[in-house]
Amino acid sequence: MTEATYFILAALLEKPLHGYGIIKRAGEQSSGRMKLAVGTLYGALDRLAEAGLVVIDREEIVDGRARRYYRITEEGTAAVRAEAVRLQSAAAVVTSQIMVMGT
Amino acid sequence: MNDSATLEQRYRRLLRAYPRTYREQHGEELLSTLMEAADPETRRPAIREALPLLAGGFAAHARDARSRAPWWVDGLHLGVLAVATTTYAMKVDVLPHLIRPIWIALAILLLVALTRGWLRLALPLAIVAVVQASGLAARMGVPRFGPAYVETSNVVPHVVIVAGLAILAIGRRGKALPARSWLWLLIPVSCWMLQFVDFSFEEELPWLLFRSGVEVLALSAVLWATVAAKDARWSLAAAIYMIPGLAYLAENLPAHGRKGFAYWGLLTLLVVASAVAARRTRRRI
Repeated sequence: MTEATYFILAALLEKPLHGYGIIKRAGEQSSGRMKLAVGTLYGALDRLAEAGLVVIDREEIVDGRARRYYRITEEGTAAVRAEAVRLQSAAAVVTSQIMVMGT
Repeated sequence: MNDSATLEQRYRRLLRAYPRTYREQHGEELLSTLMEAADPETRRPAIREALPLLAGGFAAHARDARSRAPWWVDGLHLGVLAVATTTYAMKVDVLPHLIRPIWIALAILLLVALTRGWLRLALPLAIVAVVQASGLAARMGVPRFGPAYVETSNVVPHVVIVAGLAILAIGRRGKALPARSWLWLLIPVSCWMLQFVDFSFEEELPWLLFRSGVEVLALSAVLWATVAAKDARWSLAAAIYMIPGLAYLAENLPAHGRKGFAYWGLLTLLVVASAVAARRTRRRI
């Protein structure tokens, strides 16, 4: 899973969001590190929808333009959880050694 | 025109990188998000937004170009079609005189069958072609109407076509393949038209440069499409396309200079890079 995909799925865990909502949430959750470009976001959303990890929740018209809200599916939640566990255990390899070394 | 309207117009222009159907479904949504994410004072799209939009447009085109068939079926079909198209486009003498009318008729029928995905017609025609091109026809006592046998590498494309179609026939259980664009047939038609002006594909330097340019561009596009769409089908097609060329290189090693090796090395490198990218990205979301 790419870092962008991980933060997109993580952003949708709490509630369905529209495109700009995902960009803002991913930025907040990564302490400003993840600055998703719009082209990257929609490319990832297309792939995630194709894989069944996100679906369109609803559509609203704001200022005459369609605004789609995306919702994470059960498969999507399972995938991002599995990735979080993988990242946690990978991080533990280093953090446990640092604690032992006392640095 | 105010800043916001100018920016919107410029983003609309950038969104033309996406296929029309994609724009119809997602264009306004993308535009809305782009405008929300943009600095209200700015009139020009930021580079960090423009480049991913261009890449996203290319990826959407690549995803659109896929058929509904599994990746290996699509890749094998495309590879066989590319080999057949280039082989018959350059190795069949059509104009100004029909020297081998039955061979030409077979070539046209086979190319149409391959383009339209008529597997049940394409496979027997391809078997007849390999029998004719390999010199087996004479040994089997079958009437000959194909080209004279010169060297093994001339037969390799025909063997590749038969092998590819046989795998597809077994894998698809005889079911037809997704049809390809008629534009594929423009390649042999254009090359045959060049024969009117007594053009030799073997010797003309501009032709060699043109073909090299097209091959490098096409294989670079394969690499990019593989990475962008995270799909292995084009990589498989490119690997199949390379087989006849590498067979020719292997059979005529002493005739190739440093430039020849560098050129084939570059093509091989692009295909290997596509295969590696396909392996790494296929299961990555």
